[in-house]
Amino acid sequence: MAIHCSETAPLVQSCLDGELTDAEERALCDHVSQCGVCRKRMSREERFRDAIREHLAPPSAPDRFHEQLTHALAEEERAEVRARRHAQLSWALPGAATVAAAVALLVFATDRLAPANDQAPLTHEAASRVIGSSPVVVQEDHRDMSRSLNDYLRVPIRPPRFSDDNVELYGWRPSHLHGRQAAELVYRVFRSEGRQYTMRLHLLESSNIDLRSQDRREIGGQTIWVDSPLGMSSVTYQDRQGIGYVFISDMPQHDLVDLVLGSDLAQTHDDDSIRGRTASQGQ
Amino acid sequence: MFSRPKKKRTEFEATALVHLDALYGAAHRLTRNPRDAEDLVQETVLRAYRFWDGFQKDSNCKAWLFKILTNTFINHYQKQKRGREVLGAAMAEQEATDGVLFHEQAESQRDPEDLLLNHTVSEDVVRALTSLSPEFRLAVVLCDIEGFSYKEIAEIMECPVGTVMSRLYRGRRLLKESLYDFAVAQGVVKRPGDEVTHDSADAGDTIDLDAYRKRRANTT
Repeated sequence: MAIHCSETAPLVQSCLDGELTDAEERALCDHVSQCGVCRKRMSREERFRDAIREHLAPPSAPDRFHEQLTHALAEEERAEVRARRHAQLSWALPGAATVAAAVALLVFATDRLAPANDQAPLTHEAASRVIGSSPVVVQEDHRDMSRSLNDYLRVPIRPPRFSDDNVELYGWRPSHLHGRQAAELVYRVFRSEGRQYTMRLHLLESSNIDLRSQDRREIGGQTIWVDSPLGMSSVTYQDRQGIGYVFISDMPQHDLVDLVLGSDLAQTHDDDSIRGRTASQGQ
Repeated sequence: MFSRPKKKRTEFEATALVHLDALYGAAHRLTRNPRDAEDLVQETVLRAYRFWDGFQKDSNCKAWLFKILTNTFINHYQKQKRGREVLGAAMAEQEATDGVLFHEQAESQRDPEDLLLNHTVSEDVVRALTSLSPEFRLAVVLCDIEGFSYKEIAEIMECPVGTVMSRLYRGRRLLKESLYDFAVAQGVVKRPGDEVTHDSADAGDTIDLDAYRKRRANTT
């Protein structure tokens, strides 16, 4: 399998990176042994690669940092334990508000379904939509934003509002999911101890799109899907008008689910109440 | 169901924290300073811990952690360089990796020779690496520092293997370029002239291994 000089570039890089098959490596070696130009090139590339690897050899993590991380993980574990205790207490408390919280707990208690496959295409795509996005359009007036969204998506739509005061709508930008036009709303979520998260909500006309992801949760006859694509948290929901809501955030999963359950998606589409139906059924 | 916190932490520390040095090393090269590297790794580790229940225990934990690190790094980069700068970088990257052909005759004339390599110091290499756009920097760090395979890098960076190869090829080229510029500025080497060796084969090289393999398959 003789090769030509013009073909050696991909082979040289891949050979030095250990990516060639035995046959390809043999063919390259045969060529290089007979071609001075390619031999020189390969030798130069190899020396450069070796030099770069030597110069870039990174330092190890300092011992102090190991300890710091261990403490941080212990704190994270304590926070998780506190959250569980809080949830158990809420379950026991009476009152209408608690009924809704109790239903939310039921949601959490839903058995984790074995994923149909490893991929959760839509949430995966949304979570990886980081590079190449156009700039965020910041609009102070939410009515203006609703108008812009309606004009852009050509469907009647209003951004959901959240009962949590620590959620701030920052702006939106055009987006595409599954080849369909979508709008990506960007929220900032403020939490205690100066923690700040970003929540992105992709809105799109989603009829005939499979919104399923890892965990299916049934709430008052409605279904939401919860997942953790690329280490992010996601919640997807489709209303009866076929509008898909894909929430992606770096905040903990249970926090994101709570936020979505606390939104006014119920008021936006009365027939599609998530929280509304849940609460009324619980009462 | 979710695992109990204590068991979860023990399992996480045993399985994931063994990769701490690798994460820290890569973060150090990506961010260029220890403080930012620690922040990046801590956020990565805590995020991984929160989502530990969702991690498929029989899959590649190191690659999963690096995927989170990569995602976190790019997210931070985007926050810092909001808006048009990011778009500009993304477009530049797209232009650089869209096709498989690079017309870099001018660049190939600047190949660093022994003189350059002999006088290059680690600080220059780190500086040159930092000057790369995040996508090229990540590809070089994941391959040359961490030793991930093309396939693993493709999974971590969420792109095709061909794009990984393009980013590596282009990233290394730009690295050479920067080192050469530093060396010229320091008077170690001269501006490119007639004495500089030049590979005519470098111009218009294809770096798409798949295309090469397809061509080969068709001819046999």
